Amino acid sequence: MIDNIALVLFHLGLLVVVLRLLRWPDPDADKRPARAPRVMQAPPAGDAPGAR
Amino acid sequence: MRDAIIVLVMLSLAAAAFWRPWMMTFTYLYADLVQPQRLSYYLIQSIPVNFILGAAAVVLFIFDKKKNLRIGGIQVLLILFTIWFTLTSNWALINDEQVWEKWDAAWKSVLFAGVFLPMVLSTRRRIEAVLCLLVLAIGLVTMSGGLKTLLGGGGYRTLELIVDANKGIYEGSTISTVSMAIIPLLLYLYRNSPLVGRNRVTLLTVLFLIGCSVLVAIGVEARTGVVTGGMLVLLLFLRSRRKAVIAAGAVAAALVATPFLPQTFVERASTITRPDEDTSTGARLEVWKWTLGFVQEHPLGGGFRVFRLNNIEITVAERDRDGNILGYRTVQQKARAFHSSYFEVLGEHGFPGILLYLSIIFFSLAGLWRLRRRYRKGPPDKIWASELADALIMAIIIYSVGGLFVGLAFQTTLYIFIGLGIALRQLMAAEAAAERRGAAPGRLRARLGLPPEPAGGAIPQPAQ
Repeated sequence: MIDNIALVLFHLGLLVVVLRLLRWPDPDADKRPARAPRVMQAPPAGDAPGAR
Repeated sequence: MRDAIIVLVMLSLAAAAFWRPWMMTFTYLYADLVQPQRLSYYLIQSIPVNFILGAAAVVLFIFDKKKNLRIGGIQVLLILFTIWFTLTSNWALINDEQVWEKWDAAWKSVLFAGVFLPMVLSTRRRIEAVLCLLVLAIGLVTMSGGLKTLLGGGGYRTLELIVDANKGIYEGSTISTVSMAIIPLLLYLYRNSPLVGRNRVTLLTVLFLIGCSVLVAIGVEARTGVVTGGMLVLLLFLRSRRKAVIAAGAVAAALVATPFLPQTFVERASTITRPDEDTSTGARLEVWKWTLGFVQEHPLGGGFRVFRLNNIEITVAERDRDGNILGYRTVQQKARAFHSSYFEVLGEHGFPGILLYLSIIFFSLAGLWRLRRRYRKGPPDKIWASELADALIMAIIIYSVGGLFVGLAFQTTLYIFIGLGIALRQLMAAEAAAERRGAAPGRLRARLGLPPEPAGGAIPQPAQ
């Protein structure tokens, strides 16, 4: 019984560590080339409100 | 149910390795420390889990973009130590299965934890993740033993530690050493680690694990726990800025706890200074004497588990109820274990072996000490390295002191401490080198007598 409690507590602790590990910001993230900003394209002239 | 959870955890961790290759090393360490095969009832008992995970960790290391391919001096010593104990195994005086069984465990501990692990732990978060895994894995055993002690289940060689195996961290004297050694690491994680975070939940968890460590050291009733516990208090006292508080706390804790300690524990602890009181202490001294004589004849050692050759005589005092000595009797014992890491290495691997072993510990401590001093006062973003170096120094010292009385020379925990120390030093050296490279253009400008580069790197235009 106590062994099973210890096992559950251990695995809970491990789960928290792994989840926090995934959330911890990657220190090298800022060194990666930034993604090109998405350019909003203007709608074709024909779709513009008031266009024929 | 237990099997299903263990298998699920291992598969999840291993699956994470497909996009974070280093997680396979983490999974291997999980399997090596927790030994799920022993915890399992049937599902994975027959599968060579450690071998599969270890091989996968080495293969996936190739795909790790952040791997560190530097090999430091201590890693070279560890490799030489492995080569040396492989040679001594070949000329072992009793060359049987038991020799190669111990060799198999030893080379994995030394090479994987001491040499390979620092190559994988190339970032702070990886180092702290392994640190968390280590304290949790040892915490699993201390929780099991600590809670049982609290409920009255303690006793020398009777306290069951989650797995019925008198080996590794499941052995009483070993866990009473290791449980004390992880306390500085627990304190580091709470105070400094962004991975753990500093809040009420983590504080309670750390206090709970420290409490379990102390309880298990009492519960197993191994005298090594008294020595390692004393060393822990001494080191915390020496390192503390508030020495009076630590001293008062230790005295108060001792006064409060002593009446609650089991009588058997007090009796056993009191025999430390009386070697003729029981066969265990007397046997240690006799085996150490035997080892010193043995290496005079075999300076290159006798190979793993050579203690099986010894045949010693121990003198034990017989006392009446009041403690008065009635007489002495002689007890004959054969094949008594070394009961000391240093005599274990000396007897098994001779003078070259003990020289390598002591050098590994000495240079690990010296390197960490230099790191501790270098970053103790800043810069603020690097004080953590000094604190971690300090915690690892304490862990290695406590472990080494425990090793005076228990054969712990080839336990994985020591090599994980050493591997973490190497990883930390190499990480800080790499950061310092990167900073120097980053500062180089500025230095060059200064050397050339140019003004500092303007912000944004704009090229100053000549005046019109």
